[in-house]
Amino acid sequence: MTADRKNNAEDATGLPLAPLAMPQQVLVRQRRRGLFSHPRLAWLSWR
Amino acid sequence: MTSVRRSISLVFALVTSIAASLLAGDYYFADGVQWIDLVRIGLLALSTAWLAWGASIAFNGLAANPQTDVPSIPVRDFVRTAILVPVYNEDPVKTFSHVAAMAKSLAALDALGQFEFAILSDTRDERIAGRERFWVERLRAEVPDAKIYYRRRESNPGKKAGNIADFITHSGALYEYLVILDADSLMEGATLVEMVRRMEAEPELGLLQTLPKIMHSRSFFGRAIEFSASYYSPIYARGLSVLQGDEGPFWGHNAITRTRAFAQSCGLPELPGKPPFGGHILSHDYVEAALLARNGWKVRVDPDLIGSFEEGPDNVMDFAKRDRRWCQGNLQHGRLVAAPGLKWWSRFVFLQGIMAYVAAPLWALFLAASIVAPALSVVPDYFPEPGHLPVFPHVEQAVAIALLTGVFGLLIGPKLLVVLDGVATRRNHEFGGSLRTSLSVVVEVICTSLLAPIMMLFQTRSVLQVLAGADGGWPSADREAGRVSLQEAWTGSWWIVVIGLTTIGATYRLAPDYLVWVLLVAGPQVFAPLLIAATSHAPARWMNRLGLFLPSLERRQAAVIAMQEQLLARWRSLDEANKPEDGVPQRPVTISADEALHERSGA
Repeated sequence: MTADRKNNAEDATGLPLAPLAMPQQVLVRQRRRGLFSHPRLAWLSWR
Repeated sequence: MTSVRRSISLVFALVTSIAASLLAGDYYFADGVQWIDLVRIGLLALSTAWLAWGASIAFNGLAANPQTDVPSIPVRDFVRTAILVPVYNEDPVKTFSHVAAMAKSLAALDALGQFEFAILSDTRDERIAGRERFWVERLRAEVPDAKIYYRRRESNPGKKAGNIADFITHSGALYEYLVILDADSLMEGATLVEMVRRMEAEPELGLLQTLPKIMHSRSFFGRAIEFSASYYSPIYARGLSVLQGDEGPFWGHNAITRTRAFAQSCGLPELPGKPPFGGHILSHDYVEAALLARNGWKVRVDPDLIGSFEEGPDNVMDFAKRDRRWCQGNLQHGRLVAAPGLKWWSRFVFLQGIMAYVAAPLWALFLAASIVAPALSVVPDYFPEPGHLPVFPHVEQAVAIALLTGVFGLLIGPKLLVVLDGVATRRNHEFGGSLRTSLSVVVEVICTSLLAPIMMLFQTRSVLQVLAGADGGWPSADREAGRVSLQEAWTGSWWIVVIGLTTIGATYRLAPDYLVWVLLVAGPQVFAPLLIAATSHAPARWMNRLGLFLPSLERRQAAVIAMQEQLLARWRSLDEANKPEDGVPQRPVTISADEALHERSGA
């Protein structure tokens, strides 16, 4: 273990700890289920 | 300017395709119009468009400026860059020798302090993991001034993309840039420094891709690929660069990215459904490039950046294995062509990648249709008007020859132009002079022509497997795959022999006039095991004496390669002397440029 590594805050995995968010990207359009799931037609739906 | 070039290239491909279709129509319709002729013309049109597009990339490359204009801005005093080395069941002695060589190359420039290495292990094999832990300490002792982290994930969700994402979410905030490598990547210190400089000079640049050259090839096949990569690829990459502009490619390694841009843009989801079309994204690099462009970041390939190397497959079987994964990855992109917000060029790149593999079954179908067509042809009516002289169909042989010449021209023409460009710019000197280079080009074209019908069937099989739902996954790379025995070649390609023989038999029966042409394709297929085995051997001494496939000057002079080879030789002898009880087989020392010139017996 080098001295340099001992001075960094490390997590249990052995890497330096400095989190950076990596949000999941949208790649697939959401499929609407049924005709009345469209916002403009929602008033036509019945329960 | 990029839009203009793209438009011209697309028009060229379209016009060539239409011209080929018209010529084919003249030839096929000589004895009347049949549905099979329309199928053949459709297949020919698609295939010709694809060939013409490839040729246009070369034409653009020949016309483009070889140097990238980079603003002259000094790098900030301290810019922290992490060099990521993802590994998966690799040979740690070899991989870590690459890391050590790069560290020493940086140290020689007094630049080591700005880079940190992170070896990110997804190794599943416990014996190999044990050797990784042993050799990482050896690596740290070799380069004590280098900061080297080692992390092994307990599980490997997302495979390589997930491995890198795991690093970013754990430690990414510390680093301005990430250099992403493969286990077989090797880069000169000066190249790494220059990559950081170019990123600093252009704050809107999200990712910079180098053009890796192939090294350490031992076999005839490997040397041919190495020559192609060194000689043609810079021209093609230049063409690709001017066509893609700021929506350039990412090939997954030997590239640098702006950490925050990558983190903000490239968090990949699992696609709904099961593999091969659902699940983790296999060819994540193309998707990451598209996502960076979607978020407004520039992605660029700079072919003028030398000092970037990787290893290539040394035999056809290994090439086909890697190609199977790429095929699945590219076909999976079919799910993403309609992804929201993507640039139109990014969508085109996905389609281009799909076409790269679909082209093979298209050619196979074209061949099949051409063989079957005479059997389906209608017998001509020689006496359409009773009592008059017979009317014979006018078969346009000249048209057929023009068509064939055009297709060969699209295939071979760009390569000949690269040779001529090499004469004019004296680039051929880097490959031993114009005579040696021309010899290498001729042999490479012959080799490619013999292997292309075999690769066509491997790729067709891959496409059919993926479409049938078979998941090939991400098998470990056999980076030291050496010779293929005739037995192994037969096991892997007996079905190609069967298809070749069947094709010849069907042609003889149904379309004997085409037999000579069909033999150009089916002949190599019949000899597939022999060709695969033979090309996996090292080139003969007389070939080396002639300077065939001479490694480029860049390759021969690369200090980092020489350093890595010396380190590896020393570590191998240490490894042999202290061989652990795990019985993991040792790998041979890779061949150096000098040895490649003077031919060794190989692995």
